[in-house]
Amino acid sequence: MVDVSRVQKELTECNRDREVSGVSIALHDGANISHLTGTIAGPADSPYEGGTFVIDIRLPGGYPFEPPKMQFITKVWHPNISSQNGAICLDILKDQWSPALTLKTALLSLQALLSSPAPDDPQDAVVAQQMLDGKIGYKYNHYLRDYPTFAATARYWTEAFAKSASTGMEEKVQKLVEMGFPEDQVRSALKSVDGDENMALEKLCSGSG
Amino acid sequence: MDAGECSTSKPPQPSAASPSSPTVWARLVPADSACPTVEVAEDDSVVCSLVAPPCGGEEVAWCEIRRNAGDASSATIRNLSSDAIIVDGRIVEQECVDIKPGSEIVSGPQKEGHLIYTFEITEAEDHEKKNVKIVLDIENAKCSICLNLWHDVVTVAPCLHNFCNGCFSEWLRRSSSNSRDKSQSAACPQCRTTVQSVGRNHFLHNIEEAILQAFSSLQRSDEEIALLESYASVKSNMVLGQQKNQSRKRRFSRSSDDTDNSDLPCPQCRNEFGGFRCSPGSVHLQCSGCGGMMPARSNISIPQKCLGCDKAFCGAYWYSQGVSSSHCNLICNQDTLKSIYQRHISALPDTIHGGNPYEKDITERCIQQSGKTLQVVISEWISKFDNMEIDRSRLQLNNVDAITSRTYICNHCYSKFVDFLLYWFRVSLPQNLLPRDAAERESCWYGFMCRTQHHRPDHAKKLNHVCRPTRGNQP
Repeated sequence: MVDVSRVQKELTECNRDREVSGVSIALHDGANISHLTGTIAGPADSPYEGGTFVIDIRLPGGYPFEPPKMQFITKVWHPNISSQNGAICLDILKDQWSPALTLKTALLSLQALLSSPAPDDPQDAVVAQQMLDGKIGYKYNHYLRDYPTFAATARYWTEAFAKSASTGMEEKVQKLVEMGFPEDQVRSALKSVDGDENMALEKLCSGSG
Repeated sequence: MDAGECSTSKPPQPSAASPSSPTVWARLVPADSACPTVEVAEDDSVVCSLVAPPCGGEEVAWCEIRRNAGDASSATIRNLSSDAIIVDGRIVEQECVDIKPGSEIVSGPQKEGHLIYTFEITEAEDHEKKNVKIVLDIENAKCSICLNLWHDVVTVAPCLHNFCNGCFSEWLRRSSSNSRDKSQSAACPQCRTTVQSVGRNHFLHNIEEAILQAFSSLQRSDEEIALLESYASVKSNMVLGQQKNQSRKRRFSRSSDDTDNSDLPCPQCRNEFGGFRCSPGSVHLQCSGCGGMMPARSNISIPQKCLGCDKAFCGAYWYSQGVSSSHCNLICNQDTLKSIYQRHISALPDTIHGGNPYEKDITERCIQQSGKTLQVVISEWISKFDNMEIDRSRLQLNNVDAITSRTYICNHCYSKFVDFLLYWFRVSLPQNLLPRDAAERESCWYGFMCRTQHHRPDHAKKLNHVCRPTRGNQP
């Protein structure tokens, strides 16, 4: 039986400063509180900068005494994250979990993991991933031996999967329409600048001026 | 509910109140001014006073008045007499009813023939209470596990973090069931310090209750409280992680030789053995095995400390001094500290190969297959060790470079030494001499450093762990 009271407090706390922290949590489908969806912003000064990564979160019955189960929905090129199923190697999501940790601290740790891959994670997770994803060893060697190429690949994956033009497009349209611009002009402007909200705004302003 | 002791109430003294007297918070003022006013004190709730009009008559204990918790302007009165009394015009049998300032109380079943009192709360007296108001951020009184105000708060030592009894008990139960040896053990949820003991914190419990009075919205639901209390297992102070084999404490038995030094447990403080007797103020070492004392002596050939762990053991010393347990002393067996070459081994320690039972089994079969006894194999590798044929960097003992087969080490360090030798025995074994099932295995990337082998039996069995790590931080 998940501690509903604690999870509700966590959702409130996490979303209170989402703009500053770059992480947020929502109910997955509103049906029950044990299936959530988290998002983290790609950390600055990393190949993942500018990306938005979606994470599936499932809370076991023993939460918070057992760690939440998390996996990336967004495809990401990272030595500790499976390219195929989004499984994550992170010790606090396994044996180093503590009930004083929260979903927010776990998401912040994932954000930190994107900045700093952790090559020394225990064997069982690596072996499990190896069976699911033959590339794990390759990615790790890639990261160690040819970082520039690794970073380029990670950046490309971020551009391709974590900055999808369709992701958040409706939000941007809504925001610009609320500023008073006609919707058809807004959609046209966003499309011409590949979804960059700021550039679309400039375009709209210069067009009307 | 406890009934207080009977005591005589004091006559009214409006001009002064003694600082040492109990705090008076209420009074019963008689309608007949010729009779004395009755004072009600915090710790003296039973009223003992006149109940009949003739002043100077006998005083009896007829009622008990207590302040209501949380409500400064109301109280309860319980009828202690065999007859009924009248409270605010209502007949009250042997029961408890609410009263408030101005309530009229008759000390008998009718006003005729009984004294009539008026209940008053003395506000001025409250100022004598020594209350200090402190500023407390309620967030700091919340359990970091359930994120709510503490309930039945417990404190863990040594780090002194605080949690609900139920929350911490549940974490302790799960941590203990996950631990390898099933002993009661847990890390502090907040700082991961190993918890050595845990107990209720009564001071914080009072703060917990004060906060609930001030902010009733923080009160948990009844179901939530019931759940927490079903989890709670800390009743009194608990010491965790109690070792199965505690050090055997020496039992000192007083002999007929009753001298000034008779309190010291060291045998040589009382008697001369081996030509030596301790002088007053001699520096002593405490044995790590039995807890007994022995004099620290640097001019003798027999060592008193294990070179592998630098701990003191008394077995070799007392043996060299001719002291045995028949001298009314409990001392270590000589075997607790011996040189490596004097030792004999007939079975593999369970700690071998990091406690991996599958690797231990394989090593056992390799030795059997070689046709030699374990002792012979160990002796061969001790020779290689003495001849500097083995890389010693992996031997986890102190003073590694100084160790030879003549070095005195304790039993624990000897097990580590054997583990080290058998590691080299295994890695130097040709592949074709391994059992078939062992030879066919891949090597674990983390080798002997692998942590997974301790909690995943299939992993411990499927991969070879007697090998150097090819991943992670290599020593």
